Formats: sequence, C-alpha cells, structure tokens
Amino acid sequence: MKYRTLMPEERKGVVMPITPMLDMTFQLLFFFIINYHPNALEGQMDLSLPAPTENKSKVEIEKPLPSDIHSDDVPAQVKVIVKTQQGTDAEGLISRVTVEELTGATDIEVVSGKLEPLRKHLERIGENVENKKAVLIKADGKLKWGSIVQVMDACRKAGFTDIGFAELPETGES
Amino acid sequence: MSRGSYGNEHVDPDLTPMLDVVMQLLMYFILCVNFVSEEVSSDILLPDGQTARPLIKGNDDVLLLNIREDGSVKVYGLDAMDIAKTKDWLLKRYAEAESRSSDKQVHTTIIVRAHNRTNYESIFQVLRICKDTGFRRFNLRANMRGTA
Repeated sequence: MKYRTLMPEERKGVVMPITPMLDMTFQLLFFFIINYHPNALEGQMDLSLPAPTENKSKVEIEKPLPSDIHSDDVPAQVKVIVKTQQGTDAEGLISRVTVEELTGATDIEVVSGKLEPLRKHLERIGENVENKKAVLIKADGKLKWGSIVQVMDACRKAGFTDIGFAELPETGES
Repeated sequence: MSRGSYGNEHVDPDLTPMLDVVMQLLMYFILCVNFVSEEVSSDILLPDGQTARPLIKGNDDVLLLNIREDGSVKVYGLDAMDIAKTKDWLLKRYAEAESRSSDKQVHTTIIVRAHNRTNYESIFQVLRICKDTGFRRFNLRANMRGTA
C-alpha cells in the first residue's frame, strides 16, 4: 500500500482549542478566590521601655518593682487594678476594676464587660495628675489577654498612652 | 455603486493573552498568600483592639513571638517553646543583635502576637523575660476591628 505524502501546501496546522483550557482555568481561579479568606487587618500597640534616665518624677504612687514592666523614667501616678472571679465560669473575664491614684482608690462599675465608665473616670482624673500619659495595669494572672487589651483600649482612649504592667498579684490575694 | 456582499466573516478572538493573564492571577492566589501565613501562626486568634493602629513597616530588625492559648511561644522555624527555652532563645538573639549593631545598642523590636484566650500570666512572663534579656521595644498585635 502506498502512502501518499502530503504536499507542503496540503499540510494542515494543528489548532489547539484554548477555550476549554480557559474554562478550566477560570474554574480554578473562582475556587481559590472563594476559598481565600483574608484575616482581619492586624494593628499594633506600642509598648516602649526607654533606658532609665536621671530625670525621674518624684511624684509616684509607690516605688516601682524591678519586676514591673513599665517605662523607667515615667513612673505612673495612676494604677488600674483588674480582677477576675477565679474558679467560676466567668474566670478570665473582668469582674472588678479599681483605679488607684494619689488621692485614693475608686471602684469602677463594670457591666457586661463594658469599660466605658473606666474610660470616663480616667479622663476625669487625667486632668489632675502630673504624669498625664502613664498608667500602670495590675491584673490577675488568670485574666484572658483579650480582657487586658480591652483595659488597654480604655486607658488609651482616655489619653494614657504609656501603659505599663505591674507585677502579678500574689496567689490568693483578693 | 452597489457594494457587493462581503459574506459572513467569522471572527475568532485571540484567547491566548487572556489565558496568560488568568494564569498570572491564579499563580498569585496559589503562591503569594502562603508566604505571609507561614511566619504568623494561623492558630493565634488575636484580640480586638479599638486603639490598635495600622502597622508601620520599615523596621526590619524584629523578632516575632506567637503566644498560643496554652502559653507556649511559637517562633517561625522552631517548635513551641516554654518559658525557659524562650529565655535561652532570646538571650542568643540579643547577643547576635548586639554583635551586629554598630553602636552596641540593640534596636530590635519584639512583636508579640498573643491569643485572645491566653492567660495574662503567660504573656506577662514572656514580656518580663524579654525585658530582663535587654529588649526595650515591644509591639503588641491586635485586630483592628471597630477601630475608632
């Protein structure tokens, strides 16, 4: 049997259908777009601890402990004490907030975890303190980090942007 | 002058450039997203911080600490560490940063990404050992939900 060889003019080019490939590619693209879940935007809250300087304010509530985490040259005159009910279902959530300042201590009413009264109180006392930016937070070790961030938010909204963390209270201390 | 009929001409759109662009988009979604998620631990659910401000890039000398719900510290490329191992690791990083620094001052920023339900005690311990090691700059991460 003879095979007829095609002349150059008769040779046909190979046409590759791209349309189905494009369809499949779009399918894959839609799959990855729909399954792409971007995380909530991350923000930052700075906590700066500059090196100790010689210029220290003489007015402070108490001598800061070496184990405190705070700015060494701006001792806070306001302390926010946050407690939680240990051993209950509400452990980890804020149960009591007390604000200590030079003139005394004030219990802040916390309803459903809302810290708006804390913010308002801090704004009021912020006008009377020498150091209007520094605050020390002393919180129970069993508190959840989310609750601490809420307290930090309230302090920052009230103008206290230099936030420090005091030593953890002793176990069993009420 | 009458014009003759030109007949029905079949138009074939050129799909090759469209396919190229679609492939580019596909590669982006497949590849680029994974690079960021490897360093930040995906099991860390950050708390919502209303006063959290947008990230400021520019400081390349950072150490990223992911604090899990159980209090362990996760660093990219290493297994989860307890407080003692974290302290050893931080001491080594501090020594490296100090030797690299031209003025022998450490300007490294510690970025702390802590889980929403982590006990404050664990986070305080991590911050304290960072401070005791010598690091002075901290950056706490939070979700910017409901930012004022």
